[in-house]
Amino acid sequence: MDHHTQKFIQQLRSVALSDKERESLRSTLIDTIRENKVARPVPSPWAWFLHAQHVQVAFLLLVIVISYGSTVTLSAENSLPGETLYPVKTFVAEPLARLITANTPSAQATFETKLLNERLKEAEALDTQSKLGATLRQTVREGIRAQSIKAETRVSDAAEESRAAAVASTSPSQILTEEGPLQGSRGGSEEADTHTSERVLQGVLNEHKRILEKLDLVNGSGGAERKGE
Amino acid sequence: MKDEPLEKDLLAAYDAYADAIFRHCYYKTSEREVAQDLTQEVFLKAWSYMQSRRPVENMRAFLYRIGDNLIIDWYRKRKSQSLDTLVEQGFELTDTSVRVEEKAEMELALKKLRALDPDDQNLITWRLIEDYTPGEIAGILGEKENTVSVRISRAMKRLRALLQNSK
Repeated sequence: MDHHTQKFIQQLRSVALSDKERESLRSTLIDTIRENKVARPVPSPWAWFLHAQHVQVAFLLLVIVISYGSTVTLSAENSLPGETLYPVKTFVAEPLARLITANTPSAQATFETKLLNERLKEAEALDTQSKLGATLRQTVREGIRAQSIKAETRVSDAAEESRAAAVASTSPSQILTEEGPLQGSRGGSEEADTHTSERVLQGVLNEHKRILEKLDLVNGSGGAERKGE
Repeated sequence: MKDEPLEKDLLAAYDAYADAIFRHCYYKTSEREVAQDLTQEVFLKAWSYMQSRRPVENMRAFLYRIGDNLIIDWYRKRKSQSLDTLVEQGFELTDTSVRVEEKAEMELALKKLRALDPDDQNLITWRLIEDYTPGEIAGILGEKENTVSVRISRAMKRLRALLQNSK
Protein backbone atom coordinates (compact mmCIF):
# COMPACT_ATOMS: atom_id res chain seq x y z
CA MET A 1 0.00 0.00 0.00
CA ASP A 2 1.41 3.36 -0.95
CA HIS A 3 2.25 6.13 1.48
CA HIS A 4 -0.70 8.33 0.64
CA THR A 5 -3.18 5.59 1.20
CA GLN A 6 -1.50 4.61 4.45
CA LYS A 7 -1.61 8.17 5.69
CA PHE A 8 -5.22 8.45 4.63
CA ILE A 9 -6.11 5.34 6.56
CA GLN A 10 -4.15 6.45 9.57
CA GLN A 11 -5.95 9.78 9.73
CA LEU A 12 -9.34 8.22 9.47
CA ARG A 13 -8.51 5.58 12.04
CA SER A 14 -7.57 8.23 14.52
CA VAL A 15 -11.25 8.98 14.84
CA ALA A 16 -12.39 7.12 17.93
CA LEU A 17 -14.21 7.55 21.16
CA SER A 18 -11.91 8.48 24.00
CA ASP A 19 -11.98 6.15 27.01
CA LYS A 20 -13.94 8.74 28.92
CA GLU A 21 -16.45 9.20 26.12
CA ARG A 22 -16.84 5.46 25.70
CA GLU A 23 -17.42 4.92 29.40
CA SER A 24 -19.82 7.85 29.61
CA LEU A 25 -21.89 6.54 26.72
CA ARG A 26 -21.90 3.07 28.24
CA SER A 27 -23.13 4.36 31.59
CA THR A 28 -25.85 6.39 29.95
CA LEU A 29 -26.88 3.33 27.99
CA ILE A 30 -27.07 1.18 31.14
CA ASP A 31 -29.01 3.84 33.03
CA THR A 32 -31.47 4.22 30.19
CA ILE A 33 -31.93 0.47 29.91
CA ARG A 34 -32.62 0.14 33.63
CA GLU A 35 -34.83 3.21 33.80
CA ASN A 36 -36.70 2.14 30.77
CA LYS A 37 -38.85 -0.33 32.61
CA VAL A 38 -41.73 0.18 30.28
CA ALA A 39 -44.34 -2.48 30.84
CA ARG A 40 -44.01 -4.66 27.83
CA PRO A 41 -47.32 -5.97 26.75
CA VAL A 42 -47.52 -9.65 27.49
CA PRO A 43 -48.25 -11.36 24.24
CA SER A 44 -51.78 -12.55 24.42
CA PRO A 45 -52.24 -16.27 24.08
CA TRP A 46 -54.69 -15.29 21.39
CA ALA A 47 -52.12 -13.12 19.59
CA TRP A 48 -51.82 -15.68 16.82
CA PHE A 49 -55.56 -15.33 16.27
CA LEU A 50 -55.62 -11.58 16.44
CA HIS A 51 -52.90 -11.23 13.82
CA ALA A 52 -53.80 -14.05 11.50
CA GLN A 53 -56.27 -12.52 9.15
CA HIS A 54 -57.15 -15.72 7.39
CA VAL A 55 -57.91 -17.35 10.75
CA GLN A 56 -60.17 -14.43 11.65
CA VAL A 57 -62.07 -14.72 8.39
CA ALA A 58 -62.48 -18.48 8.79
CA PHE A 59 -63.67 -18.05 12.37
CA LEU A 60 -66.17 -15.39 11.36
CA LEU A 61 -67.56 -17.61 8.64
CA LEU A 62 -67.85 -20.47 11.11
CA VAL A 63 -69.76 -18.25 13.56
CA ILE A 64 -72.11 -17.16 10.79
CA VAL A 65 -72.71 -20.72 9.65
CA ILE A 66 -73.30 -22.00 13.17
CA SER A 67 -75.56 -19.06 14.04
CA TYR A 68 -77.57 -19.54 10.88
CA GLY A 69 -77.70 -23.26 11.43
CA SER A 70 -78.76 -22.86 15.06
CA THR A 71 -81.45 -20.34 14.12
CA VAL A 72 -82.85 -22.63 11.46
CA THR A 73 -82.74 -25.66 13.75
CA LEU A 74 -84.52 -23.83 16.56
CA SER A 75 -87.17 -22.64 14.14
CA ALA A 76 -87.61 -26.18 12.85
CA GLU A 77 -88.21 -27.61 16.32
CA ASN A 78 -91.94 -26.89 16.25
CA SER A 79 -92.46 -27.56 12.58
CA LEU A 80 -95.04 -30.08 11.38
CA PRO A 81 -95.07 -32.52 8.49
CA GLY A 82 -95.59 -30.67 5.21
CA GLU A 83 -93.90 -27.47 6.47
CA THR A 84 -90.67 -26.14 4.94
CA LEU A 85 -88.45 -26.66 7.95
CA TYR A 86 -89.77 -30.14 8.84
CA PRO A 87 -86.96 -31.89 6.95
CA VAL A 88 -84.45 -29.92 9.03
CA LYS A 89 -86.10 -31.33 12.14
CA THR A 90 -86.19 -34.94 10.99
CA PHE A 91 -83.01 -35.13 8.93
CA VAL A 92 -80.71 -32.80 10.87
CA ALA A 93 -81.80 -32.02 14.43
CA GLU A 94 -83.12 -35.44 15.41
CA PRO A 95 -80.25 -37.50 13.96
CA LEU A 96 -77.82 -35.15 15.70
CA ALA A 97 -79.65 -35.52 18.99
CA ARG A 98 -79.65 -39.30 18.52
CA LEU A 99 -75.91 -39.26 17.99
CA ILE A 100 -75.23 -37.17 21.05
CA THR A 101 -77.65 -38.57 23.61
CA ALA A 102 -78.49 -42.14 22.76
CA ASN A 103 -75.33 -44.01 23.62
CA THR A 104 -76.66 -46.94 25.72
CA PRO A 105 -79.46 -49.39 24.91
CA SER A 106 -81.59 -47.88 27.66
CA ALA A 107 -80.94 -44.32 26.44
CA GLN A 108 -81.67 -45.36 22.88
CA ALA A 109 -84.96 -46.91 23.92
CA THR A 110 -85.91 -43.72 25.77
CA PHE A 111 -84.91 -41.54 22.81
CA GLU A 112 -86.82 -43.50 20.18
CA THR A 113 -89.89 -43.60 22.42
CA LYS A 114 -89.70 -39.83 22.79
CA LEU A 115 -89.51 -39.45 19.02
CA LEU A 116 -92.54 -41.68 18.62
CA ASN A 117 -94.36 -39.46 21.08
CA GLU A 118 -93.29 -36.47 18.96
CA ARG A 119 -94.61 -38.04 15.76
CA LEU A 120 -97.94 -38.74 17.39
CA LYS A 121 -98.20 -35.19 18.74
CA GLU A 122 -97.47 -33.82 15.26
CA ALA A 123 -100.26 -35.96 13.86
CA GLU A 124 -102.65 -34.67 16.52
CA ALA A 125 -101.65 -31.07 15.80
CA LEU A 126 -102.31 -31.53 12.09
CA ASP A 127 -105.62 -33.18 12.85
CA THR A 128 -106.62 -30.28 15.09
CA GLN A 129 -105.78 -27.86 12.27
CA SER A 130 -107.68 -30.08 9.81
CA LYS A 131 -104.56 -30.42 7.71
CA LEU A 132 -104.49 -34.19 7.49
CA GLY A 133 -105.30 -34.46 3.81
CA ALA A 134 -104.87 -37.71 1.97
CA THR A 135 -101.22 -37.23 0.97
CA LEU A 136 -100.09 -35.84 4.28
CA ARG A 137 -102.06 -38.47 6.16
CA GLN A 138 -100.17 -41.21 4.33
CA THR A 139 -96.83 -39.52 5.04
CA VAL A 140 -97.70 -39.15 8.71
CA ARG A 141 -98.87 -42.80 8.97
CA GLU A 142 -95.65 -44.06 7.49
CA GLY A 143 -93.60 -41.82 9.77
CA ILE A 144 -95.37 -43.07 12.88
CA ARG A 145 -95.14 -46.68 11.79
CA ALA A 146 -91.41 -46.43 11.11
CA GLN A 147 -90.76 -44.69 14.40
CA SER A 148 -92.88 -47.20 16.29
CA ILE A 149 -90.81 -50.07 14.92
CA LYS A 150 -87.61 -48.27 15.88
CA ALA A 151 -88.88 -47.67 19.41
CA GLU A 152 -89.94 -51.29 19.86
CA THR A 153 -86.63 -52.56 18.54
CA ARG A 154 -84.69 -50.36 20.94
CA VAL A 155 -86.83 -51.36 23.89
CA SER A 156 -86.31 -55.00 22.96
CA ASP A 157 -82.55 -54.48 22.67
CA ALA A 158 -82.51 -52.78 26.04
CA ALA A 159 -84.33 -55.77 27.55
CA GLU A 160 -81.81 -58.21 26.05
CA GLU A 161 -78.96 -56.10 27.33
CA SER A 162 -80.37 -55.95 30.85
CA ARG A 163 -80.97 -59.72 30.95
CA ALA A 164 -77.38 -60.35 29.90
CA ALA A 165 -76.15 -57.96 32.56
CA ALA A 166 -78.27 -59.70 35.18
CA VAL A 167 -76.82 -63.10 34.27
CA ALA A 168 -73.29 -61.75 34.31
CA SER A 169 -73.76 -60.35 37.79
CA THR A 170 -75.28 -63.56 39.21
CA SER A 171 -73.23 -66.27 40.86
CA PRO A 172 -73.20 -69.75 39.29
CA SER A 173 -75.10 -71.24 42.21
CA GLN A 174 -77.84 -68.64 41.89
CA ILE A 175 -78.21 -69.31 38.17
CA LEU A 176 -79.10 -72.90 38.95
CA THR A 177 -81.63 -72.02 41.63
CA GLU A 178 -85.12 -70.74 41.38
CA GLU A 179 -83.95 -67.30 42.32
CA GLY A 180 -81.73 -66.96 39.26
CA PRO A 181 -82.59 -64.42 36.60
CA LEU A 182 -83.41 -67.13 34.04
CA GLN A 183 -86.04 -68.52 36.29
CA GLY A 184 -88.04 -65.43 36.84
CA SER A 185 -88.11 -61.80 37.56
CA ARG A 186 -85.49 -61.22 40.14
CA GLY A 187 -85.62 -57.43 40.06
CA GLY A 188 -82.50 -55.39 39.91
CA SER A 189 -82.00 -52.07 38.25
CA GLU A 190 -81.48 -53.34 34.70
CA GLU A 191 -84.71 -55.32 34.70
CA ALA A 192 -86.55 -52.43 36.31
CA ASP A 193 -85.20 -50.17 33.56
CA THR A 194 -86.39 -52.54 30.87
CA HIS A 195 -89.80 -52.72 32.34
CA THR A 196 -89.76 -48.97 32.64
CA SER A 197 -88.91 -48.58 28.96
CA GLU A 198 -91.71 -50.91 28.00
CA ARG A 199 -94.12 -49.19 30.34
CA VAL A 200 -93.20 -45.79 28.93
CA LEU A 201 -93.67 -47.00 25.38
CA GLN A 202 -97.03 -48.47 26.21
CA GLY A 203 -97.97 -45.28 27.99
CA VAL A 204 -97.19 -43.26 24.86
CA LEU A 205 -99.31 -45.51 22.73
CA ASN A 206 -102.18 -45.36 25.17
CA GLU A 207 -101.98 -41.57 25.40
CA HIS A 208 -102.28 -41.19 21.66
CA LYS A 209 -104.78 -43.97 21.06
CA ARG A 210 -107.29 -41.63 19.44
CA ILE A 211 -104.95 -40.48 16.65
CA LEU A 212 -103.63 -44.00 16.20
CA GLU A 213 -107.16 -45.20 15.60
CA LYS A 214 -107.85 -42.32 13.26
CA LEU A 215 -104.77 -43.22 11.23
CA ASP A 216 -105.62 -46.92 11.31
CA LEU A 217 -102.49 -47.80 13.16
CA VAL A 218 -103.97 -50.15 15.72
CA ASN A 219 -104.82 -53.83 15.81
CA GLY A 220 -102.26 -55.16 13.32
CA SER A 221 -102.52 -52.31 10.88
CA GLY A 222 -99.00 -51.16 11.66
CA GLY A 223 -96.23 -51.38 14.19
CA ALA A 224 -97.77 -48.92 16.54
CA GLU A 225 -99.50 -51.11 19.05
CA ARG A 226 -97.38 -53.49 21.03
CA LYS A 227 -98.04 -57.14 20.53
CA GLY A 228 -98.10 -59.89 23.08
CA GLU A 229 -98.97 -57.67 26.02
CA MET B 1 -34.60 -10.76 35.69
CA LYS B 2 -35.62 -11.88 32.22
CA ASP B 3 -33.88 -8.91 30.54
CA GLU B 4 -30.44 -9.71 31.94
CA PRO B 5 -29.26 -11.85 29.01
CA LEU B 6 -30.50 -9.19 26.59
CA GLU B 7 -28.71 -6.48 28.51
CA LYS B 8 -25.53 -8.53 28.43
CA ASP B 9 -25.83 -9.05 24.69
CA LEU B 10 -26.37 -5.37 24.08
CA LEU B 11 -23.42 -4.31 26.19
CA ALA B 12 -21.23 -6.90 24.50
CA ALA B 13 -22.27 -5.43 21.17
CA TYR B 14 -21.52 -1.97 22.48
CA ASP B 15 -18.03 -2.97 23.58
CA ALA B 16 -17.38 -4.59 20.20
CA TYR B 17 -18.85 -2.02 17.85
CA ALA B 18 -19.20 1.35 19.58
CA ASP B 19 -16.02 2.77 18.05
CA ALA B 20 -16.86 1.54 14.57
CA ILE B 21 -20.38 2.95 14.76
CA PHE B 22 -19.05 6.20 16.10
CA ARG B 23 -16.56 6.48 13.24
CA HIS B 24 -19.28 5.65 10.74
CA CYS B 25 -21.49 8.42 12.15
CA TYR B 26 -18.56 10.83 12.37
CA TYR B 27 -17.49 10.29 8.75
CA LYS B 28 -21.00 11.11 7.64
CA THR B 29 -21.65 14.08 9.88
CA SER B 30 -18.18 15.48 10.75
CA GLU B 31 -19.57 16.52 14.11
CA ARG B 32 -18.20 14.71 17.11
CA GLU B 33 -21.07 15.46 19.46
CA VAL B 34 -23.60 14.56 16.84
CA ALA B 35 -21.71 11.33 16.17
CA GLN B 36 -21.76 10.53 19.89
CA ASP B 37 -25.47 11.21 20.15
CA LEU B 38 -26.15 9.10 17.10
CA THR B 39 -24.00 6.29 18.44
CA GLN B 40 -25.94 6.25 21.67
CA GLU B 41 -29.22 6.38 19.77
CA VAL B 42 -28.13 3.41 17.65
CA PHE B 43 -27.66 1.23 20.71
CA LEU B 44 -30.85 2.43 22.36
CA LYS B 45 -32.85 1.59 19.25
CA ALA B 46 -31.14 -1.78 19.14
CA TRP B 47 -32.17 -2.32 22.76
CA SER B 48 -35.76 -1.41 21.97
CA TYR B 49 -35.79 -3.95 19.16
CA MET B 50 -34.17 -6.64 21.28
CA GLN B 51 -36.77 -6.17 24.00
CA SER B 52 -39.44 -7.27 21.57
CA ARG B 53 -37.66 -10.68 21.56
CA ARG B 54 -37.23 -10.58 17.82
CA PRO B 55 -34.01 -12.33 16.80
CA VAL B 56 -31.02 -10.35 15.51
CA GLU B 57 -29.02 -12.56 13.20
CA ASN B 58 -26.18 -10.21 12.42
CA MET B 59 -25.67 -7.61 15.14
CA ARG B 60 -23.03 -5.66 13.25
CA ALA B 61 -25.16 -5.30 10.11
CA PHE B 62 -28.14 -4.47 12.29
CA LEU B 63 -26.31 -1.64 14.06
CA TYR B 64 -25.03 -0.16 10.80
CA ARG B 65 -28.53 -0.21 9.38
CA ILE B 66 -29.87 1.65 12.37
CA GLY B 67 -26.97 4.08 12.11
CA ASP B 68 -27.61 4.79 8.44
CA ASN B 69 -31.27 5.45 9.12
CA LEU B 70 -30.45 7.84 11.93
CA ILE B 71 -27.91 9.64 9.76
CA ILE B 72 -30.51 10.05 7.03
CA ASP B 73 -32.92 11.48 9.60
CA TRP B 74 -30.25 13.83 10.81
CA TYR B 75 -29.56 15.07 7.28
CA ARG B 76 -33.22 15.59 6.66
CA LYS B 77 -33.37 17.84 9.68
CA ARG B 78 -30.53 19.80 8.23
CA LYS B 79 -31.96 19.82 4.70
CA SER B 80 -31.32 23.47 4.23
CA GLN B 81 -27.62 22.83 4.23
CA SER B 82 -25.70 19.83 2.94
CA LEU B 83 -22.50 18.88 4.68
CA ASP B 84 -20.44 19.28 1.55
CA THR B 85 -21.71 22.83 1.23
CA LEU B 86 -20.77 23.50 4.81
CA VAL B 87 -17.28 22.08 4.28
CA GLU B 88 -16.78 24.17 1.13
CA GLN B 89 -17.85 27.28 2.96
CA GLY B 90 -15.18 26.62 5.53
CA PHE B 91 -17.28 24.81 8.10
CA GLU B 92 -14.92 23.47 10.69
CA LEU B 93 -14.97 20.17 12.44
CA THR B 94 -16.30 20.55 15.94
CA ASP B 95 -13.61 18.41 17.35
CA THR B 96 -11.71 20.07 20.09
CA SER B 97 -9.91 16.92 21.08
CA VAL B 98 -7.29 17.21 18.35
CA ARG B 99 -4.61 19.73 17.58
CA VAL B 100 -5.04 22.24 14.80
CA GLU B 101 -2.69 20.49 12.39
CA GLU B 102 -4.33 17.16 12.93
CA LYS B 103 -7.67 18.82 12.51
CA ALA B 104 -6.66 20.15 9.11
CA GLU B 105 -5.41 16.76 8.05
CA MET B 106 -8.59 15.15 9.26
CA GLU B 107 -10.71 17.59 7.30
CA LEU B 108 -8.72 16.80 4.23
CA ALA B 109 -9.01 13.07 4.73
CA LEU B 110 -12.75 13.37 5.23
CA LYS B 111 -13.06 15.52 2.17
CA LYS B 112 -11.26 12.88 0.15
CA LEU B 113 -13.42 10.15 1.60
CA ARG B 114 -16.56 12.04 0.67
CA ALA B 115 -15.32 12.56 -2.82
CA LEU B 116 -15.89 8.85 -3.29
CA ASP B 117 -19.22 7.33 -4.12
CA PRO B 118 -21.19 6.66 -0.88
CA ASP B 119 -20.99 2.91 -1.49
CA ASP B 120 -17.25 3.15 -1.98
CA GLN B 121 -17.00 5.20 1.18
CA ASN B 122 -18.56 2.41 3.18
CA LEU B 123 -16.47 -0.30 1.53
CA ILE B 124 -13.22 1.60 2.08
CA THR B 125 -14.13 2.43 5.65
CA TRP B 126 -15.10 -1.11 6.54
CA ARG B 127 -12.18 -2.74 4.75
CA LEU B 128 -9.36 -0.34 5.51
CA ILE B 129 -10.41 1.39 8.72
CA GLU B 130 -12.41 -1.26 10.53
CA ASP B 131 -10.48 -4.22 9.09
CA TYR B 132 -13.60 -6.18 8.29
CA THR B 133 -13.08 -9.14 6.02
CA PRO B 134 -14.94 -9.28 2.69
CA GLY B 135 -17.11 -11.96 4.28
CA GLU B 136 -18.04 -9.70 7.18
CA ILE B 137 -18.78 -6.82 4.82
CA ALA B 138 -20.91 -9.17 2.73
CA GLY B 139 -22.84 -9.94 5.93
CA ILE B 140 -23.49 -6.24 6.52
CA LEU B 141 -24.58 -5.61 2.95
CA GLY B 142 -26.44 -8.85 2.50
CA GLU B 143 -24.45 -9.66 -0.62
CA LYS B 144 -22.22 -12.47 -1.80
CA GLU B 145 -18.62 -12.40 -0.64
CA ASN B 146 -17.23 -12.61 -4.17
CA THR B 147 -19.30 -9.65 -5.27
CA VAL B 148 -18.11 -7.65 -2.29
CA SER B 149 -14.47 -8.56 -2.96
CA VAL B 150 -14.75 -7.29 -6.51
CA ARG B 151 -16.41 -4.09 -5.37
CA ILE B 152 -13.75 -3.51 -2.70
CA SER B 153 -11.03 -3.97 -5.28
CA ARG B 154 -12.65 -1.40 -7.58
CA ALA B 155 -13.21 1.03 -4.71
CA MET B 156 -9.54 0.75 -3.74
CA LYS B 157 -8.51 1.58 -7.31
CA ARG B 158 -10.71 4.66 -7.31
CA LEU B 159 -9.34 5.73 -3.93
CA ARG B 160 -5.74 5.36 -5.11
CA ALA B 161 -6.52 7.43 -8.19
CA LEU B 162 -8.20 10.06 -6.06
CA LEU B 163 -5.32 10.27 -3.63
CA GLN B 164 -2.81 10.40 -6.49
CA ASN B 165 -4.70 13.25 -8.13
CA SER B 166 -5.05 15.24 -4.94
CA LYS B 167 -1.29 15.20 -4.14
